[in-house]
Amino acid sequence: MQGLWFDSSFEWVLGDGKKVKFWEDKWVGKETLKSKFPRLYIISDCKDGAIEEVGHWEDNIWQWDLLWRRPRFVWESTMEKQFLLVIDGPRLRKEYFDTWKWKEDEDGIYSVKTAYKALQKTTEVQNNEFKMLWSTRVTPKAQILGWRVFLDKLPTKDNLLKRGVQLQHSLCDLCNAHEETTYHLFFSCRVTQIVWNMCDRWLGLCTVHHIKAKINFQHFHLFDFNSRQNLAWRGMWLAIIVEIWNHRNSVIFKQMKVDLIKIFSQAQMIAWVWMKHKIPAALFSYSDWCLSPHTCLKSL
Amino acid sequence: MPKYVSNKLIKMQRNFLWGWSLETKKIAWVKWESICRSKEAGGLGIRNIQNFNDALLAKWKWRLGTKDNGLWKHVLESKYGS
Repeated sequence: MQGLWFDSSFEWVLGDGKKVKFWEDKWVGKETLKSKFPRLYIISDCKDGAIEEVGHWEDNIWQWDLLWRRPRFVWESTMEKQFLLVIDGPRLRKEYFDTWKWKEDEDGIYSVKTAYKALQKTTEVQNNEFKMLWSTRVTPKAQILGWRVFLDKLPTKDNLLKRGVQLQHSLCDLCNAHEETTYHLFFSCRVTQIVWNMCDRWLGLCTVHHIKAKINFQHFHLFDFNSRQNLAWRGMWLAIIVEIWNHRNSVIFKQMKVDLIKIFSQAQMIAWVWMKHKIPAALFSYSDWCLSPHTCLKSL
Repeated sequence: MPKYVSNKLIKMQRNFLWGWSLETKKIAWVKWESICRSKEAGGLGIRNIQNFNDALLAKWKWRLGTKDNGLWKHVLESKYGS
């Protein structure tokens, strides 16, 4: 077990000074005294002792007995003064044991949960688009597909080629004009762009679609919708993604003809089914949804 | 937990996620460390069992350093010093 993360996750709470090592433990500030005052450490006569060995109690007041191997040079004495100021900061408390305070948790007590979080922290950057993706009310399968689109980790032709898979050609099967990449297939292909435009016109909008998946997803909202309504609307985004992907697979593996209307109407359909199942307030009928999506979403 | 064991466990987890079987081998598209990030950070929030094991082990270290007075502590201290 690597001890570094552990050592930096707790701090000493000073009690009687029996356990804390004067020079080697971090009991005052963020550094050990050894690393903060290396010069004085060298001439110290008690290098690995606990705090209680470096002083004594006199009428309940703690007195330092610092032992040096030799008298300090003049230029060292300012350093020594500073040193004394630093070690006079924390108070020793005779009636308590020295103990640890866990920094990752508010109550200062170790918990596996907070320790695990601290260990994972180095790799974690919170990201709003992902948060939004996982809060949509759709099937987990659709969310996973969205997740893979965000990360560009779908078996698109360029990704397969990168991994050494043999293919007949690398062109997008929907437009037969460009290399198939995630960005191309879902957002910049002239065929799928028509689908996005259909969606815009359906809701009565005219928007520019960003070709970066995460940003495209984030932009997929309306200002006159509240956050709940926009969350439902983002289900439509995932429905279109799902249908583009399914359609692309049917074209490649079942030799189906490209059918734009089908992509769009299927997306409308599954978006409605998801809302019906996952949003209790979605009471509108399928035909209402197709005819006036704006009114339907406003009712949520 | 020895590295060998955790590697083997992670292999099982990974194969499950990407749908491996005896007949078919699948591509693991996303590296395991990324899968183990929280969902908000772009992962799937699956536990990194190596880190989790460390977090569990460190609880003993914590109990050794704080007020716990179990027999196990006396045994360790008489064997290895305090």
